Amino acid sequence: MIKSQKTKTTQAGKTIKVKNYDFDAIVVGSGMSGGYAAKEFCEKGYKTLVLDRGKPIEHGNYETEFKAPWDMEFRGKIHADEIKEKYFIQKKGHGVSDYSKHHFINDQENPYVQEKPYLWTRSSKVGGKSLIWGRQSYRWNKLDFQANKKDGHGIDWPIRYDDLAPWYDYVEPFIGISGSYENLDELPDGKFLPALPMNIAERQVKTSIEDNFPGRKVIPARVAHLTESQPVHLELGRGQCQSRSECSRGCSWGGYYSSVSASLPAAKRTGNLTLTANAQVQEVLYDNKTGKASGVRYVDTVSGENIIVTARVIFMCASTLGTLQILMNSTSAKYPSGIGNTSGVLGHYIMDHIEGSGARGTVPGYLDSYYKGRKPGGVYIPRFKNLTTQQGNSSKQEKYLRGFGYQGGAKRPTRISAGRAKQTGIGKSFKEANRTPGHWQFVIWSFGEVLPDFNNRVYLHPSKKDQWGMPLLVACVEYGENEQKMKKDMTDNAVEMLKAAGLKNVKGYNKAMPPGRSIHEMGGACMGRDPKTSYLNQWNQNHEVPNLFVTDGAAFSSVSCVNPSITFMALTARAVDYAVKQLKNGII
Amino acid sequence: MSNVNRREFLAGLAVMLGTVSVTSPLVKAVEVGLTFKPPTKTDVFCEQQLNIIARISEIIIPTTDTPGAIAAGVPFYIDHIAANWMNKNQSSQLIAGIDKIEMDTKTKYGKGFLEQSNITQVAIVQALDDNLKHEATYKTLKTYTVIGYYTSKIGMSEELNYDPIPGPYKEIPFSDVGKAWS
Repeated sequence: MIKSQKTKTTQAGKTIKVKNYDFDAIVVGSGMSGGYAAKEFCEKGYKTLVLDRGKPIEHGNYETEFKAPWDMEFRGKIHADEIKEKYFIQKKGHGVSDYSKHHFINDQENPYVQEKPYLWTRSSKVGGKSLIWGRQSYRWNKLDFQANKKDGHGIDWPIRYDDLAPWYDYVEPFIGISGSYENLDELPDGKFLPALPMNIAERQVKTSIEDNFPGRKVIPARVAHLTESQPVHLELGRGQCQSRSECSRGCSWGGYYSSVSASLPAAKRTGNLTLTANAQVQEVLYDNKTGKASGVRYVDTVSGENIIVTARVIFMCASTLGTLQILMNSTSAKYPSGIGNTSGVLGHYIMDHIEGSGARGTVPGYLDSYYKGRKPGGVYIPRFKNLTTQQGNSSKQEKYLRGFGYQGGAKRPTRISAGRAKQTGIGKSFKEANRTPGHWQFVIWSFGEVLPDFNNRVYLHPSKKDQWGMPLLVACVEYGENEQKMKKDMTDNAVEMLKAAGLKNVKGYNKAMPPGRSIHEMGGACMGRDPKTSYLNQWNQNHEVPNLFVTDGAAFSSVSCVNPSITFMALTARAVDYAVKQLKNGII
Repeated sequence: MSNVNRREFLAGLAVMLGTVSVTSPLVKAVEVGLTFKPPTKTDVFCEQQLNIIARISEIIIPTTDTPGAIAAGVPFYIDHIAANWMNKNQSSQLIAGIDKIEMDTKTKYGKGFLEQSNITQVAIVQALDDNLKHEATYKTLKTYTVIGYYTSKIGMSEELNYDPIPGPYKEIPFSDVGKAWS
């Protein structure tokens, strides 16, 4: 496929290998967005190169998938020394265990700078965070896309819900999302597989909360798990979720959506995909003559070689902060602060979701009821604060802007399930007590919308570089007063609802979490109508460089309060559709 | 627990423990399904200390209708944890703490822990357990006994219900399974 290959030497004496492939598209990153972009380009017949800095991984060959606790040296826990050495950032986030640690980046080898505390969770594998995500999948609502315009924070989205709705319709069946049809303005329905069943304790909480708080809903969590495989899943070898709850190790059934199990295989079967792992893209190259991006330069992290590849269109899907790091490092005489960044907004408006607030309690009774399987999702309580309905009815305006939702669920943990021996007792009676599942424990935790703020930004360190010569990213992000007020309300409302629902031992929590911890980072290359104040137009296309697209979280102008991944995918599919029309018409 | 109940409990336990000889060698690591390298020599504990750990863990989780802590490899697990998971300070404290249990037993009963009758051993462990919060060594031993047992193949699949591939989630009456999932 290589048309030509030559070696050139830069002024600094660095040798760069230039490969002229006949690629139509280069997709940087292979996670939620990159995997989907690859599938779309390949299925439309375009030769596509996917570059991912992660190590290769093969679906169906996940190294810890079938390990039992007794197969693990420390029964699933990571040794403190190993955390200190390799995972001192990642371990503070979600989902790092001895079973899954190899799917997370080595913090020692991949530094960044925290001007203010910022927790950056990163994947170490092809497939990105789609392997290790939380799998909760919700559509944004109409209000979400109007929020910036309405309250004046951030840049007004150049699109509205109705622009994206057909693309949710398009991606959801492929992803496979289980959910119930609720007909709510605040949480639009999608194209669902059968909902996960709610257990008896969850049903009781639902009834009590909905009775006590008119307008609030407790519904089954909507998750990207196959409750009933459709032909579109079966033809890729994806089967029904087996309720193992060991997703972050990888799932050979393809029971949950990842790009490794779904979008990348779909791209591969077209024959149009070239996937290169261990490829750290360092810059997008700008061609002054054409006014377009000509390709990218990456470092092969195994050989250390610098390689340039070219294509007609570039999609940046390297994860929010990864994409920004590359774009800011893509400098030229025309764009000294990053390709397509005449506006200067690149790197600004970094957002995520506040978390660490909620409540837990005991649901009395139902001790004759139990379950088989570890359900991949419990319940969801959609946003109920600061809403304006389509009929124009407003809920009470809180002392803060925007809103939050709760995830949660009920289980019957055993006394020893936490692995600790808090309770006294020895001998036969101790053993027998541990044989019986405990009371139903119900917990909810919240994700809240963070306001866009120009001052929350990332930038490149002026001198520090990583081992491959990439300037380090500096994070300068902090939550403001709105977030603190909302966070307290997230706890207060959780406690109030669980108490009203008749739970015992209700305890609220409000734990301070650094920005980034929700792993829902977004913004920095925001979409907008005005090239002076935004980086991308309504098609995720750079305002200035027409063949440069950003379709991961970096493109987001606000963050809603729901989990973002399916919105990444819907926007990506929409952007590819547009880019392909432009390619066909010879515009880019 | 009332005194009468406790006496009955201790008597019952002693009968059960009677099936395990105090001086019987420990079950070999390979026989209890450990896949990490079993200790060829004990890195941390001497044989006496390891035998005290074995007795205490078996008193906490005895052999009943299902195998107990020794059969599940708990003593080797604790040795492995002390050698490879704990830092030097933690393992030294644990060793010193076990020696103290031995010394205290000698002071109080004239003979070492392993020479005591089952009833006395159980009484000693019961007293430590009653004071769990303040007995650091015993608390450590109990914690790792519980983790080691309930994450062993025996603990997960014989004592509790192991269900690695459950299939689609469903509600069931508890009586269908009769014990908790591991």
